Amino acid sequence: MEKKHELKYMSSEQMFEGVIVEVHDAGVVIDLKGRLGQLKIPRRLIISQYDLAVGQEVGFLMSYPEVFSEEPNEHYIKALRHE
Amino acid sequence: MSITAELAKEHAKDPAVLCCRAEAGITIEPARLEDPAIFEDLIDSGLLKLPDNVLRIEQVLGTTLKETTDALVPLTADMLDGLSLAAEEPKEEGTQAAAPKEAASSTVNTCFSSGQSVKIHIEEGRGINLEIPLSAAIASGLSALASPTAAKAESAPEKIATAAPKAEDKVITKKIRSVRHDHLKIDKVVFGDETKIEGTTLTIRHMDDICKEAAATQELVEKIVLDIITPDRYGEYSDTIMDVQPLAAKMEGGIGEGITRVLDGVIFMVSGTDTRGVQIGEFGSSEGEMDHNIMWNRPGAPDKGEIFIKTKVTIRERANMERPGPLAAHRASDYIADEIRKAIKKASSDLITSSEEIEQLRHIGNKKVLIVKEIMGQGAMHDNLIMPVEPVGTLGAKPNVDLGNLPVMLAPTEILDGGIHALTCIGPASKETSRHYWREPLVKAAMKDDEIDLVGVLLVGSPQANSDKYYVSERLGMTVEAMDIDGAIVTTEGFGNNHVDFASHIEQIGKRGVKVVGASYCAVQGALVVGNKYMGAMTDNNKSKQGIENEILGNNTLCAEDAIRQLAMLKTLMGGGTIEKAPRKWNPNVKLNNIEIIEKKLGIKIPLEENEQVLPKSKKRREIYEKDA
Repeated sequence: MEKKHELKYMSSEQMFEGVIVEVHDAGVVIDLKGRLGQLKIPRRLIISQYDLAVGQEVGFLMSYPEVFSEEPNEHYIKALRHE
Repeated sequence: MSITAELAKEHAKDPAVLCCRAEAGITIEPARLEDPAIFEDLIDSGLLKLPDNVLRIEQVLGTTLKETTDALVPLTADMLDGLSLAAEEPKEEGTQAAAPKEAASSTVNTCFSSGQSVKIHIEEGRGINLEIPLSAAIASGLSALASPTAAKAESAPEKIATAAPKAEDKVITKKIRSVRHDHLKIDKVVFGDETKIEGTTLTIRHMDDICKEAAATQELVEKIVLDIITPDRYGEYSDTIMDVQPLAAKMEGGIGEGITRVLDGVIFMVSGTDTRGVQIGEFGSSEGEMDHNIMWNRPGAPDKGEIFIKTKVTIRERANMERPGPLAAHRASDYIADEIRKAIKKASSDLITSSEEIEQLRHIGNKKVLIVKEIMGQGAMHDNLIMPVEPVGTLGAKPNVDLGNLPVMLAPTEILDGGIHALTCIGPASKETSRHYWREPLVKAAMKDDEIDLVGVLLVGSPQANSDKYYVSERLGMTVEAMDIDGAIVTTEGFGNNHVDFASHIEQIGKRGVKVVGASYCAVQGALVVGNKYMGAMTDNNKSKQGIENEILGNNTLCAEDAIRQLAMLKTLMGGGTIEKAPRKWNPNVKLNNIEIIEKKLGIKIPLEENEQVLPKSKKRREIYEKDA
């Protein structure tokens, strides 16, 4: 985290639409329309005028995730292995 | 986008730029000019470049354009007819930037001319202290301002110097309540036949027995393992740290009064997964080596050198995402903490190493100040248990979600005596653990400040839906209105949709004429999503170098250094001072400038907290990443 990561494709965000497919007390799961994947986010990161419900459509800006380095970060590898 | 006459007046000193293509011979009116509020965006995107000789809006109004000119062209003297003589001045004086600079330095000057008071001590009057402010004032200011779309910050040194003293200005100090904390030192934790404290050793009953009983109290809990982490094991792996709690027990009175015993040198830690091994509240969790993931000595984190009594709770498969899951993990862990509390109560009083009296005083006659703490209430681990029977216990406490997230008033001593058991949500760097409330720096600083009159700490939950947020916020506004206070500091935990109600709370308070300061982690990643005209005085709790949520427990939480800035800013506002506007983008130097101003003004040294840069890094991180750090 100390490294100043930089994106090569800055500000390439576009509007995406999605559908809420799971609502939990902790968060929601959103299917990106067009079979483009899923987002799972905590409740505090979704803004809604209404109570959350399955089937509600959402919109947001997103860019493509860029990989910073070929080298995996061993800190995270170890965490994933519960070491 | 053209501007109105009213806006033109407000921005009279700002650069004049045409908003649309304009024909030769037209008269320059507000409707022809671009809104200066968006200049920085336009400059960033390369659409606008302001030359040194650009004219101010007040200079160009009423003049005539000589030639047909395109949109977004800054107006200069050679393009206009009918300029008054005054229009020539700015060319000599230089850029717009000069104005704010001047303003800043003049406020600093006034700052130093303020703040006298007379203290009268009546020796035989049973220790009555009267303080009569001569010029009302106090300290200096500081700030970090946030505006609608981004976290921003900028210093605002301030001043005070108000009316002459009145007879009624005398301050009467009144003790409301107090709680005594007796400290017991623990330097060794072992398993044994019974849970007890002897000397400086805490013995916990056989792990298998106590854990089996604890797990049996909760239907959703399958298994608990208890571990004693000594400093030599800090480098080991741990599941996500769900909470850090003090081990304390009531000896006399309820929470917030009487006597409490607390163990030094040891803390209680909750962690857990479901049976699949998925972290409780999994959202890309921060499990890993503890010494990489804990910002030592933060109010809500363990102190370096402390022993952790750590539970690893396994809850039923998939229960990790629903509200009963995390709650069960906390309640089951608390079964073990409660047995330790019982041992604390039985311990010999000879083991008390020191005592501390925490007094809640009112300074009647001073400006009345309320602390509003926004706590998470969106559900699951976005919840807090309010006012248990034992410090940071679970029994007897009500979850703020069940209380409808409505405002609940606590005495400052109740906050510092374990009145909150935090389920603490995601975002390790900004989450406020139970221990954070136990050691809440702002509450502590406000209680010690005899220049204000702290009336209480109002907790308000942050619900999920905006409609609920505004419902709660409006009740907060009405509560504040009825309290007739002079100032408030609103704090929130982390970032996300809680910034919607955070902004609304500040508006509800500000529009009632109460001076208000906001405190949140914002920086880069937590930039505010909304804003309003009352959000002029904001402080940022960020400590991370990059201004991000860096997954290190407690890193970006409110610390003593933040509390000093928040109180200084509020006192500045209440004393009639102003806070300078923030720069558009997050700039950590603003905070440092503010710290410097306060240090100069008050003649004190404010120690700054360390950040993640002091934690160990892996070999790879040292070799690859640290080169440019």
